[in-house]
Amino acid sequence: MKSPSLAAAPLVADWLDLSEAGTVSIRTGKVELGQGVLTALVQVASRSLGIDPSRIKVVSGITGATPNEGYTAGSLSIPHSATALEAACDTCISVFRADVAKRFGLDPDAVGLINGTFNGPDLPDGLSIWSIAADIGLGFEVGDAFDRPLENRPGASLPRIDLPLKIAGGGMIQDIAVDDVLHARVLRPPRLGARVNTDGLSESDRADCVIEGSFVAVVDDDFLALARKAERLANRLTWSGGIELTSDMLRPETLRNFPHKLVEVGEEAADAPAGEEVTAVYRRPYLMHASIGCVTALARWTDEGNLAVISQTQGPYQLRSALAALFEIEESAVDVTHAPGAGCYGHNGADDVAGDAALIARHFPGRTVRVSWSRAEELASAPLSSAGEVEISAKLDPNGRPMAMSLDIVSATHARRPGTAPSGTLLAELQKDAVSQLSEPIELPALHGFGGLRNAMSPYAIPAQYAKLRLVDPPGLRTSAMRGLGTHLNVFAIESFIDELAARAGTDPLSYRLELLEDPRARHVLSRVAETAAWANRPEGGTGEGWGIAYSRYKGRAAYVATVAQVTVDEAVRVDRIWSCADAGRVINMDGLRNQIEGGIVQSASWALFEEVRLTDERTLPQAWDDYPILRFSDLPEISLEILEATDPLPLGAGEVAVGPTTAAISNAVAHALGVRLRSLPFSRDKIMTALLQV
Amino acid sequence: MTEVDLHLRINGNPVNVRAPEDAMLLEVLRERLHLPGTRFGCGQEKCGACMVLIDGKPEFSCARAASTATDRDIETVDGLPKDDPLLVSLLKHQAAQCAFCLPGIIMSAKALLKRSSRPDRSEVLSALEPHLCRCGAHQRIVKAIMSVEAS
Repeated sequence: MKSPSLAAAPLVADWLDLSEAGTVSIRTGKVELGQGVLTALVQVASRSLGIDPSRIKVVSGITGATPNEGYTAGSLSIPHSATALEAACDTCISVFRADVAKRFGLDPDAVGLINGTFNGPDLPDGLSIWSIAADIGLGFEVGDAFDRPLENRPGASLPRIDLPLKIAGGGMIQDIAVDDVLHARVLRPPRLGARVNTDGLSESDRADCVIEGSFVAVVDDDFLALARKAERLANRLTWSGGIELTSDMLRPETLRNFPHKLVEVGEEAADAPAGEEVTAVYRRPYLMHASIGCVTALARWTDEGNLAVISQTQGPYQLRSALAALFEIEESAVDVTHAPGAGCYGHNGADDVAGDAALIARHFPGRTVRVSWSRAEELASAPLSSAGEVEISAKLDPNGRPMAMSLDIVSATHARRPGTAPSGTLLAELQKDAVSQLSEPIELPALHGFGGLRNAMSPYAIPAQYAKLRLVDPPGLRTSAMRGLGTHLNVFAIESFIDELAARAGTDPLSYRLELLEDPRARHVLSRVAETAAWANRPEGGTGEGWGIAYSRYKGRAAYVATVAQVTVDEAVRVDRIWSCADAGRVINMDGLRNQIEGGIVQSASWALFEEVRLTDERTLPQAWDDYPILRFSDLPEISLEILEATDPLPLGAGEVAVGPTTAAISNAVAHALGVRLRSLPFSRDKIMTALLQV
Repeated sequence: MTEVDLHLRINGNPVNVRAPEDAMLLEVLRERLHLPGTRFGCGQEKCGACMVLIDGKPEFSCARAASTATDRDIETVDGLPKDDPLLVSLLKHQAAQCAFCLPGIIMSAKALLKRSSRPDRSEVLSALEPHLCRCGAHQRIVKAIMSVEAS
């Protein structure tokens, strides 16, 4: 199967540049977000070309210079970009080798290649991939990758190429030094759609501001002066209108009150089978990206009306389109160059801050404008990840096994990135026009693994499965993509429900799952994790110590993951241990894969125990860490992770695969510890105290 | 905005710098002295990205006036040599994802390692309690700090 990344970049020249003798430049549309993708790509090219990694340079995420591979998202960088690059490198080698063989009358198999130089009987010195590239170019189409033996060797992991600089305190977008930079900060409305009144600004205040509609930004040559001035001027603005939030609006229970659009998967059983019906409702609150760093961007317009942006965006081409639309200019007049920022787990403020910088910079042609969000903006101005509620119903056979299962999901959209609507995807535009009605919410199609419906079809052999999503649009809340989209809620719900069914049937939850799973790879990860966690020694429930198990295959087609959580519950939940076992198919960089799954486990544990968007003062989204606590070092579970030997030549993608099963395993462990099932995230101290009163 | 002269000692070097009298130490480090290693995360002493050592003790620099740190020894990640055993161990364990939180964590870990050359897990966890990491690299960071080779 050809990588979809090749559709827009079909030539070897789209992926490789051999114009500088001795080095190889690889080009990728995927960007480094801290997930190590560029290292994995260097490793792929190094292996394919037989070139030392130190001689490989990466060009990443530059419009016009790198392939348009869409967003760096969806656990697709290795499955799409690495396979495309590998095919490009393999094609290059095979075409070059054939060319050398033909020229010198050799069998291609007799042409050797060591570190970029060809050798063989009667071959002249200095014949290299660089000299052949100079002769015949790279303008030929990417063919198939070579067949390779499967190997998942941990020793084969190239260490991260970007870490030495970053660990020593460099390499971030915040560190880019530009002469004559103009610093800027946007003064934000207190709520979506509010209109500004600037009567309180003096003439000299105005001279320091960019004002377009309700978009007000303060500028200064000196960052320190800017911060102080922004604070002063913010107090001179008044805001009216817009959508007032209430605490009630953020409760997942109220989602069903909004009008909805219906999206369905599977078939609703026409004749409902007879049998006992079981129903349960699971909920998740709104979540925040809550990156440790604040998003930053630099933008500069030329006098001729061309715009250059440096951004930590996940989608340079998509950002370019959004900027071109916002300023009503040709896409070719906009260049977007990616630079790494702090961890990014979806559609956070990275694109928005680029829009801010570009809008401000248009007032200062020839100058580079730098905008770095405040912590308050980082939390309260970035899109949220939607809350959701799932009602699951199952019809059981006489043995307590489900004959039919249906999910009724309600959620806001997970897709409001640039590119999902013709306009209104950048915050600067929304603020300028005081927009309170956001773009029409959409559900991603099956091709992209859905959004709210992601993982809504259970992996179990249940004769009739059906899921419907009620896509709602709660006013005043901008929701969009965050790690895993709907998978977190749906896997939490399904895997909790399966545990509840197992308990009703009086069956061990591991055995119950294995009875219902047909895919041998699914069975294998579950059995292995049960073995390593010594599941057979699981204690009696209801004692305050709980063990839980869960399984999922992300999107039904990425890596297989099974997880066991051990928790202790007294006044709060403590996750003591997590065991996880994954089958990710062919692994490119074993350590990078492990790092991604470990990170997903920790982030999911944080969502499960601590995270919930609540209003401060009954009307403001969290603007400080105290208002949105996340997992701390003292909460860290011990994590044991096993990656299975590959049996599949395809890399399956792994960045987001842990978030569903981790929360689900914790949910099941908490229920086991308490003897009472909690069905609403997070399992916070308050919820535990309430539950303990019911025991 | 009144600017004042500040006499600071950073990574062993005396420096004189002009800054607003209420300037935070982090602002002076990043924006005046162009030492980019110390990170702005929140400005509220809640995430630890801005951690520096002042007279050997980990201190937040984001909400602390630079004027309170004059004539004291300020250490930042920028002053560490590339072969610093802690940096070596962090790289060996690939103990990061985005690495934004690390410069601050490194400074807290330096202070810990000075007190305890072979810290156990609970010592490391408690030394890192002021720090947030969002990528979930915690376990690697803890292991790397626990296994720093004495230089």
